[in-house]
Formats: sequence, C-alpha cells, structure tokens
Amino acid sequence: MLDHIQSYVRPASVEEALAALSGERTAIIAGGTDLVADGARGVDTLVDITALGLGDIQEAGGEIRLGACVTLHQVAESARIASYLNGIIGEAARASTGSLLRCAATVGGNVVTATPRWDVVTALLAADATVTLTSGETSLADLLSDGFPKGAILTGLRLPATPAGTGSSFHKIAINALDVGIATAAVRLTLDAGRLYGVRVALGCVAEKPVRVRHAEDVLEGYEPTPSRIQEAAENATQGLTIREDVRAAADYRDAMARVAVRRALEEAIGRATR
Amino acid sequence: MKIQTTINGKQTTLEAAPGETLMESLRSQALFSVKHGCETGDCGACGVLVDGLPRASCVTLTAQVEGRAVRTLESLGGPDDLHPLQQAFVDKGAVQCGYCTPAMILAALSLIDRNPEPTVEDVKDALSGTLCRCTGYVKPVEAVLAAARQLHETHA
Repeated sequence: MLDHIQSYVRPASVEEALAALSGERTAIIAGGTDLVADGARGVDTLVDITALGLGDIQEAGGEIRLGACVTLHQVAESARIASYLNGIIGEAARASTGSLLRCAATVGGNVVTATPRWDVVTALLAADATVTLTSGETSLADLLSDGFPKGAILTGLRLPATPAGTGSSFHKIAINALDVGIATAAVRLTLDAGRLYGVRVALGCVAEKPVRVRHAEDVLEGYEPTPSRIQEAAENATQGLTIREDVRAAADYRDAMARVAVRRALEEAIGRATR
Repeated sequence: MKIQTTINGKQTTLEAAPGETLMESLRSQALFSVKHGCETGDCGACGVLVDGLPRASCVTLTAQVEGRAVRTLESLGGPDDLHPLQQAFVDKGAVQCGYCTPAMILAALSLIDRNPEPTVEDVKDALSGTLCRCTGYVKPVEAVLAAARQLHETHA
C-alpha cells in the first residue's frame, strides 16, 4: 500500500494529462513496475497515461514508431521488431525481465527510469532512437544524459530505417538467466565497401544509465573492421565512465566484463553485417 | 476510490485507496491463491491474469485495473473438479510447498490460450516470471507441456 498517494487520475487526452501533471507532487504511471516497487516517495497524485492511445507499434516511411505505453511483451512478440536490427530490441526486452513484469513494463517507462534492469534501453540506444516528448523531440542519448524535463510526457520513440549491410548484436553478461546484468552491450553498424559506418555502441549496467561509448565508435567509424581495430574499440569502451559497483560485481570486474561484452557484440554485429 | 472491474468473471466494484495494490485488494476479497511474496515484483508469487495476460499484482495498483478483467486461480476448478493444468501439476509432482503454484498455473493458462502447442522454451519463458525454491522447475515445465497436449487433443 502506498499510503501517501491521495489521488489517481486517468485522463483521456494529452492536454488533460499535462494539466494533471502541473501540480507539485505528481508522477506519471504507465505500467507501474518501477514506480510501485520503489514506493513513489514525495508523490501524492498519480497520472495514469494508459488511456492516451500510446500503446501501438506502427510503421511510417520506413521507420518504426513505438508508443510510450507499448509493453515489453508487445515488443518481444512483434514480428516487425523481430525483423529489425537482427531482432536485438526484442531480445533485449526478453532479457530485461521475466514474463510477469514484461506484460506491464513499458518502453516509455523503461527509458525514463533507465535503471540497470531495463536492457531494452541499451538496445534502443544502439538503434539511434529518437524520443518524442510533449515538449519536443530529442535523441535517446541526449535524454539519458540530460535528464527528463519536468512536467513533460514521453509519448513515443522513433527507430530509423537502416541501409542494407547493417548488422546488430545484443550481448548480456549476467550471473543467471534473469538477473539484472553485470554488463550489457548493444551494437549497430553498417558495412559498405569493406568499411564501417553508422557505428553505434551502447553499454548498459556499467555507468549509472545506458550510454553510447563514443571512444569505441570513433575507433571504428570509417575504418575496416580488422581484429586489431575491434580489440582497440573494445579496450576503449569504458574510457571516461564511472563504473558502477553493486552486489553483482565490483567495479574492476564490471569494467573487464563491459569490454568483453562490447567485443563480442562487435564481432557478432560485423558477422551479421557481412551476410 | 471505487474501481469497476471483473474478477473471475463476475462484475465487481472494489473499494480501494488510490495507493492500494491489486494483491492487497484481491486478498481482502479472500482470494488467497494470490500469494504475498516480495512486494517488488521480483518473485512472482502474486501473479494473476489481467485481460488474459500475466501481471504481478504486488506492483499493480488496484486503480490500474479499472475496466479490466482480473483472473485468479480460484476461477479454475475446485478440489473435486480440477482443471487439466491443476491435475497435471498434481500428477507430475510439480507442487511442493505450493507457494509459486497459483501464479505458475495462471501464466501457463495464459500461454496455452495464446499458443496451444508451446515448445519447452515457450513454457520456460512463460513461467520465467515466478521463482520456485522447491521444485527446480523441471516438473512444472513437464506439467504445463502435458496439460497443453491434453487440452490440444481435447479441442482438436
């Protein structure tokens, strides 16, 4: 029981929802898996956004649009998502949690909390997702580093179309099949005339939130994927990051595993790009 | 708050505080098959079905199921007329302490409704939301596969 919650509203329009959120101690609830588990401290009004028609996966002009309230279950079951980027987004959705929370957890909620459990955010980062908010659009990478604008509602995510020769991979290192990861890596890249372009390397569970590791990307962008370049990219993957330490891994072990995860994901993505 | 919902097929108006969880509301309706475990959505003992899909009731607010259909194990058979899933769990020795059993059976029911011929991997994934400390999962998976085969034959 969250005793301090005094009011629960489920508006029927985005305008109503924004108005309901304008108070001091308000919070958005979609699936509620993080919010209810964490207790929603400092909140007395919950604004349920599941009646705003944000629960669909759509396609428009080659790009995929995920409504904010699309659940990880929908993502995991979607044939369109399975055929995009070698299926890494569905794979990451299934890796994120077991079957119970998947049916409640939403991609929008996962992106906002971006806790280490939600592997799908790492995959979305490698996919170069754009986030649509009521306050405007931003890249997922910028949203994760800049923080969530107060009073705004995240309404959806856009995933770009990719050229032929694109390969992607998601690799999770964890203690067991369902645990929060020690280090997760997601990679997307395109091979054109033997060189790599559009290289995106995302690391989850390592820093406080999922991050694009630009040091690794820069080593590869425009170059041939030789074994020594791949090794160099992996070795540089954690440069500049403050490595998390928790019950699952000490910082030095997590650092080492992050670089292993990146190397494996790079190798697999390059292999897939070649096919 | 008054929350209009359907519980086990019956239209019900639940009286609940805005911050009350579905687990608390269901247990206060004497639906004790819904087990009180971790309160954080990790153990899955509280698993129910909402609109046919598995849901961790301990991290679901009752207000969230307004207008939705909730199902607990009580909607399947009683001791004298067990549902094939329940019977399979008994026959295969898939029940030890029984704490995870209601949630597993409901997750399996949801799976079989959507996928009448699940593979072993499908079953493992469907049961992945609920932890079991007793059985080691092998017998529950066998029970679900056996029940799915039986239900498929009955309807074929």
